[in-house]
Amino acid sequence: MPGMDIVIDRPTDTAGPAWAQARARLSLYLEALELPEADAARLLELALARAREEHPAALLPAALSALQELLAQRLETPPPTMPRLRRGPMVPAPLDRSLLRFLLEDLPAWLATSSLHLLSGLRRWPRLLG
Amino acid sequence: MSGMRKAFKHQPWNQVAALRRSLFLVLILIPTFITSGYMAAILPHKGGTLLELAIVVVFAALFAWISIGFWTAMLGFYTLIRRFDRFAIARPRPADRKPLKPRARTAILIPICNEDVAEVFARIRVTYESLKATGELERFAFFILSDSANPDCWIEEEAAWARLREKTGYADIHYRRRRNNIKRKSGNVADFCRRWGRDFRYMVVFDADSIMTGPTLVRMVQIMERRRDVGILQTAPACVNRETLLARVQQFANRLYGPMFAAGLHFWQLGDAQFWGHNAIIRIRPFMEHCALPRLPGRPPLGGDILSHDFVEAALMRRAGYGVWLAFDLGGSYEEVPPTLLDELKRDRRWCQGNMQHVRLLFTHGLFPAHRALFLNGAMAYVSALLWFLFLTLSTAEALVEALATPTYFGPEKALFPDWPVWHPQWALTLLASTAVILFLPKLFAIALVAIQQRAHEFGGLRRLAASVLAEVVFSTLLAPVRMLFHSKFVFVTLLGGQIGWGSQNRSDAATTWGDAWRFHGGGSLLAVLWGAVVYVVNPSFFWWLSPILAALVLAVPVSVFSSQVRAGRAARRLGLFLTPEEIAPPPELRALRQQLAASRRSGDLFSACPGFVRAVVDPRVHRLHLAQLGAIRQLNPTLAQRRRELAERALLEGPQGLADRDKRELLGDPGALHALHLAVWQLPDGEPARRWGLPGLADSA
Repeated sequence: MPGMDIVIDRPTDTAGPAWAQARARLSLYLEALELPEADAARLLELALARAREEHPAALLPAALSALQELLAQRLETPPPTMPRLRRGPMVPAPLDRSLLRFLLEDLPAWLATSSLHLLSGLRRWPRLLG
Repeated sequence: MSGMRKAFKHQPWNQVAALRRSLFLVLILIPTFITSGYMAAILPHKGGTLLELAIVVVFAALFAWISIGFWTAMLGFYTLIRRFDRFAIARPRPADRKPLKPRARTAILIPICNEDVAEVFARIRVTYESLKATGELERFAFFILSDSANPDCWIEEEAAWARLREKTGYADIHYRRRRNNIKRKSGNVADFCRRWGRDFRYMVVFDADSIMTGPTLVRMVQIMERRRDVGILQTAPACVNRETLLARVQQFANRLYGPMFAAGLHFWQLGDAQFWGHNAIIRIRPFMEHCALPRLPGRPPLGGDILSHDFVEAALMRRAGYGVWLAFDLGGSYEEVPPTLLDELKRDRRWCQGNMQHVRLLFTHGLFPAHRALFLNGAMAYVSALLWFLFLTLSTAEALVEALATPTYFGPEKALFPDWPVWHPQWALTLLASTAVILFLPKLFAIALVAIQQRAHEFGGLRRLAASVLAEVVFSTLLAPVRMLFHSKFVFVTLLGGQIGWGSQNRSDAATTWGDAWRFHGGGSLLAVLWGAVVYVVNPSFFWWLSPILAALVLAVPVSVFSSQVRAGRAARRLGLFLTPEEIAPPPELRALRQQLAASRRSGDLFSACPGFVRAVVDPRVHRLHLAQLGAIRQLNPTLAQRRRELAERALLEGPQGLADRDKRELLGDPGALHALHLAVWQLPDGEPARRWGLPGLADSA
């Protein structure tokens, strides 16, 4: 295991039951992967055979480890969740909330523009409602 | 200001908007002035005391506030009855029939935060299928942007995303989870813009409960392509899908009165409309250039991050010269309402704080006056509750003073005749009637509109429609004082500096328990009993004026519980009450949503019943998927590596329930530790420890 190992107590002298247990657990693992039945059966036998050959005393961990290697060769890596980055700036501009500026600049400008719009709009008053 | 602003400054609609808004203002101010004078005349001292003056001022503010709603509805009625408005932005044009250009790429953003994963992805699937049917799918990409902190949600979202991609075979469905949800939804959207915004011309922002149909999405892009001066195009979503009584009443009100109000808003707002934060399309480039939100100086609740970002973004977009329009007549846009009164109030508490912050932006340089007015309007949505409460308190004080104080018939100045405090109940009744007209006439106009448009069958027929409106009036009369009390409290707490959490919204039909209802409404009910008792003892005639409000507060607990029940909602439906067009004839997208949800609940792989964190550890498919998203295993410093090892060992020993959410997130973020845990769990020999992880123990399976 890269980085760390977690040690679990398990019996080492259970050739018969250990074999059955490893088979059951690996079958479940492959079932969860939803692989086609034939593929799953083949992978199961391969992993178990490799484990029996290399680490007969620790059949389940060895079989799981062998299965991981086989799956890494067989299964595609899941796709990335996001596309390639294309960064662009989005920087907040400070908001000028000065009352003085509002009174001296914004308010007169608004009054002037509104009056202008209102006067020119009045000439086209039939458009008012539709 | 930018060049764009100059180019778009003098649009034909500007002059018409000035005229329409002037008319709107006159329609509000003149009746307010008249009725306030009338109110003063009704009072015993004709508004001559400080208390009465305060009553008149508060009354004027409240009357102006309800008049805004009234005239918006009336102008909406006018617009809809004419079936024409030259400025209606969604009015079909021949140019809109062309297929979308390849460069008109649109990102559909679905920001989520600890939501029901199955529901969210079912809605996305429905939108996807509808879009696919238009033949324009390739112009759109989906981005599910998660801020979920719940580790189970995180993994379930990832798994659901992978399943969705697998089932649709569409590569342009993406998923991203932020580790730090800075600035919440607005920060999430801004993060998207910074990373991928340059790849798209537009983005359609969804809420977790949004559904939009393909034709509507395509139509919105067509409109934006035709109108280069539009920065934001907002749709008016229809409320659908909930089954509790309260939600069904809200859905009914939304579907019956909503179109009229939306048309009315369009009438006077034109290109200065609101952005409601979702079910809207946004032109990305100006959004990135001009709509980034700064932090407000000072501490929350009124300082810090801007919470209700949408209004501010609309104001900034408009300041940059781009129009913000409401496509009031564009269908195919849906959302859901909170299922219970308590959920609605929780949401309102967040919105209240957000809208109150806007008052601080009132004098921001360069904003258009209409958006300043919208800031005020947004704050008034909650401040009006406090004003109503104040009005009731002041009126009660007046009634008590009049009953207890000895009248002064002759003041300090010499006078021939005494000053009689006179109270004319019939005048008060006239004023009450005129207020009732303002409040309820739009409802009658809505019925008339539906009848004229021959759409009564969409609401179950004219008789059922009328009965539903009557029931809705009773219901809203019962709820209005409860909302008033809560909103007053929210405003008060916000002004005093109290902070509000910003959690995810409950979107399931879960009923309110009696305990919860009592906890939230009990205080209000007790206040009403006390208030009523004092007024009844001191001034019994005034008690009857207050009684409808006090009765509603006293009944708040049972009303809150009853209205939160799905059973009550369904019973009303059987009686033909509160029927909506979507309930009577669900559009294909809503039918598909039900099927999707049923299918997603049925489909069960080996570990689908396990919580997300357990699936990431145990389920080999989900585990592989999650590791792929995390990337390569990183070299950790020894202290951190040791901590992770200990965490994994604890998880193995105690099972997933032995870990806090923070621990789970830590493990989920470390591919090395997670994979080690994965292998270790699959080797667990004992029955019980294995079962904790959703595995049958080896002893069972052997």
